[in-house]
Formats: sequence, structure tokens, C-alpha cells
Amino acid sequence: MKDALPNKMIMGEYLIDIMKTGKWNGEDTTFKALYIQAHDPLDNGCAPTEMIETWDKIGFVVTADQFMTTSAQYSDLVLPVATSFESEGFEAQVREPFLRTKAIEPLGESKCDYDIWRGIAAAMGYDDLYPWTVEELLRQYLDTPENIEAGVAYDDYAAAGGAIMGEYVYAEDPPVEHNDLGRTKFYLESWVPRLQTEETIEPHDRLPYYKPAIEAYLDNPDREKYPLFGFSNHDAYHGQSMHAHSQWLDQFRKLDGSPFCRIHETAAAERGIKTGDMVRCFNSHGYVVLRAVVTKGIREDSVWLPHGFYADEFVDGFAQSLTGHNVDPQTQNANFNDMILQVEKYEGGAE
Amino acid sequence: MTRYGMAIDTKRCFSCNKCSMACKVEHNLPEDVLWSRAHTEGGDYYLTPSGTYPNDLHMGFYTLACQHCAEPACFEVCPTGATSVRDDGIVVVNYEECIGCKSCIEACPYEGFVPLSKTRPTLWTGKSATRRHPTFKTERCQSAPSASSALTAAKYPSASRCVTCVPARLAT
Repeated sequence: MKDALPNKMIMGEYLIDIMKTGKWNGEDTTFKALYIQAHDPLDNGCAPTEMIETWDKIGFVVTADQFMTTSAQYSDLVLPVATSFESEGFEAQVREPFLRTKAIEPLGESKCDYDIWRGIAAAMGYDDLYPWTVEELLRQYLDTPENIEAGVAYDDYAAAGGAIMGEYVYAEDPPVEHNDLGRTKFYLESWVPRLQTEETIEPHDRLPYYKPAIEAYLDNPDREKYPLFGFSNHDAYHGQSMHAHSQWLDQFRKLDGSPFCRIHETAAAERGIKTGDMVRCFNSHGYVVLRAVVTKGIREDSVWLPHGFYADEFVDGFAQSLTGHNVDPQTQNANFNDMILQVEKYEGGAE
Repeated sequence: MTRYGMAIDTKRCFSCNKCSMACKVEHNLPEDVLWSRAHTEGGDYYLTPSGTYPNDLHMGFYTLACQHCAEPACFEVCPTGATSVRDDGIVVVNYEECIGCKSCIEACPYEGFVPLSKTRPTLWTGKSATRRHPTFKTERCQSAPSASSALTAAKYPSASRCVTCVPARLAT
């Protein structure tokens, strides 16, 4: 394709650094537009406050999504994506792969992701970029000679209604890697960072080692203002934000209609907080207003914050806004539980 | 006479409530209705412990649903005969005869699950097991998993969805 440029894979978290410095790996780098697909960085990622500032610098942010996520709400343009019930596809990342058949045509103006790309490409004059329909694409993927012989090609799946039931043989779980002495292998010979980065690999990166927290450590002088440690977790009810606004799940994860934090009874008593009260959790990165559940089942110096809600489910602010931009250069993942905060009883109304 | 019961290993239950959610999906229950729920035995609120912090804390869980009592109080008070006890001991409600007086709910000695919608039930999809007067009779619990869980049903042909959905079953 003419005008095509080499792909640069960059973890989204580094957008913040790139738009601050104008550099990536020593090269002048900037972005004038951002297209977000299959992701809700503001609700799921860290440092959403800085990410919003970054998006302001980029200038034009497009989100393609099935739902009005917080990221979609902050975007300049939202492209509605058809749900899995309205589009055909193949689910390969499961133990029993199946052809996802279309139950109904996409509602409203929604399209599947691929058809959105086709439309954008055509509008930009690249009609030849995605010449195939979804079915043609799936046939390219499925109709290999081996699949046809084995009876698991496109037409076979379609004739079976999507799923082909059979005696599946599963690969064994990967064995524990061990060294020549038969012991657990900690040293990583071939360790490489997740994606291209300026970081060099130090010898200690090849072994497990202790790394102090960037914000949540005992002697952090900022703990005078923010004395409590914050953390969240990924359980069935607080995973990523794809289950936000699910009233069924809310029966187990909201208190009187609001997400809640957990705070130890001692810390709560010092602040005049009891279960059911509205509280404001805040630090230098952001704040959230939500209900409190007072419990003995947490450290006295720690507060559990919920994960996976949209901002519009909180009275004000949102929980992820308390996280900072602390990306590990090797794994290039964010430190979700590295935060300090203060909690106070909330007396204001909903904003 | 045959008596059905649900065996739950409370040592393994950690109150994920996936069985409750599976029940809700299976029966398409209204938003505020739960026919079964895992409760916390400990502090005053869900998933909080009792005892003294930090080394003497206690938290356990138990699930609660219709017990299909041998002498069901709901059966005794039903004014229309909508509630009945089958030969196999399952207590059922005939929705065509139910007038929604809630007498059965008042008479039930068990508390802590939500068998009745306080307002007109809001349903996520179409026809519900409880479309008229939501009550807590789980006649379908013995039936095979629905077609929508065909893949799971193939692995666990005799299990209800509340069983196939809980992580603890993997250890059995």
C-alpha cells in the first residue's frame, strides 16, 4: 500500500510521556489523533487525570465502543460498535472455538469494528486496504485444507449453528520451568521488555528482586497529607469496566445505589465515618465520592477502592483517578495499587 | 418419599455468589429479585468479619434459597391453592392461580433472600419465570441446563447452571 509507514508499537500508558516530551526512543514523536478500540483506558488504566490532559494535547480523540464508557464520554467522536449478537466472528481464544453467528442486524448506526475500518479506509481513499467482507475474511482464516479435511471449516461451523461439539484434546498446562538442577527457574535468559523501549535490561531484571513502591511507602513525606494506603482488586464483580452499569451485578457490589470503599473501623472512627456514609477519597492525582463500608477485615492504614465502574456511577470523581502514572519499564504495566490517599466524610450533594 | 436438597460445602464457599447470578440468569429474574444468595456469617455487612482485629477475626458463608420445607408455611397460608407440594417434595407455585397477596412471603420463616419484587418487575429479556407475581419456587432447578449453556452442559450433563458456574466445583 502506498504511503504506508512502519508500525510502532507503543504501550498506551506512554502517551503521557510522549506528549509531554515530544520524544519516543530519541525520535521526535507526536500524535495528532487517537483512535481507541476495544479499550476503556480511563476506567481501567492508571493516571486517568494525566491521560485526559494528554488527550487534550492530542486534540482529536475517537473511541469506537459498544458502551458509553468514561473514555467514550471524554472523546471528541464516538463510533458505535455492534455487539457480538449483531456481528459475525470467530472466537478462537477459548477451549471450544466457535463461529459467532449474527442474531440480528446491527442496531442504529452501529457496525462491527472491521466494517468501521473499511468505512474509514474507503473515506480516506484506500478502498483496496480492506477489500473483503467479514465472511470472506473468516473464510480466509478457516478454510485451510487442514480444516476442510478435519470438518472444521467455515461451512462446517455455519451448518452446525456455530459450535462443533466433539472430543477435544486439550494441550497440557505448561510445565513448571526448572533449571539443570531440577529446581524452579528464576533466572530469565531471554528476558525482553514487553514492547520497544529505551530501557536497557540490567542484570537484576533477570531475577526476582524487591523494588520499593513509588508512592505507597511508609516514609513518604506526602503521607502527612495522605496517610492511608489505597488498593483495589480484580474479582468477579470488580474486573475491567465491561460490566459497568450491570444492575444484576450491582446487587453484590453497590450499597444503597453507590459503589463503596472499605475502611478499617479505627480509621473510620477517627474520621466520624460509619457504614453507609458518603465519603470523599482523595490525593494529589484525583478524588472519588462513594459510600463507605466499615470493616475489621482490612489493615488499619489501608483503604480498598472498587475497580471497574464508570465515572458516572460515582456521586463525584472516580476511583481510578487516584492512581498515578507509575509504569514499570520492563513489563510496561501500571502500578494499580501504588497509591496513598486521605478519606473524609462527604457533606456535599451530588454534582 | 423423595426429598431433594442442595449440598453445599461451606468450607469451600467464599461468597462469590456466582451460583446466585447463574440462578438469576437461568430464570431471568427481575432486577431486585434473588432466589438464592450467599450470606456472610460474620460482621454486620456483606463480606465483613466479626471478632477482634487483627488476630481473632471470623468470617464464613452460607447460601440460602427456598428450603422446600416438609411442612411449608407458605402452603398453609396460600388463599387460592396456587402453592402446592408435589409428590417429590418440591414446593411450587401455579402462577395462573396466584393473586400476588404475598402471604407466602410473610409466612416464610427464612429471611435474607429476595423472593419478591417490591414494584412492577423490570426484566432484562422477554419472558420470565416470574413474570406475574415473583415468588421463589424453583421447579426448574432440577431441569437440565438451558440450551444457551450447551458447551457447559456437554461437560456436566446432569448439573444445573448454579452448580456449573461456581469455581469451587472445579475442585470436586
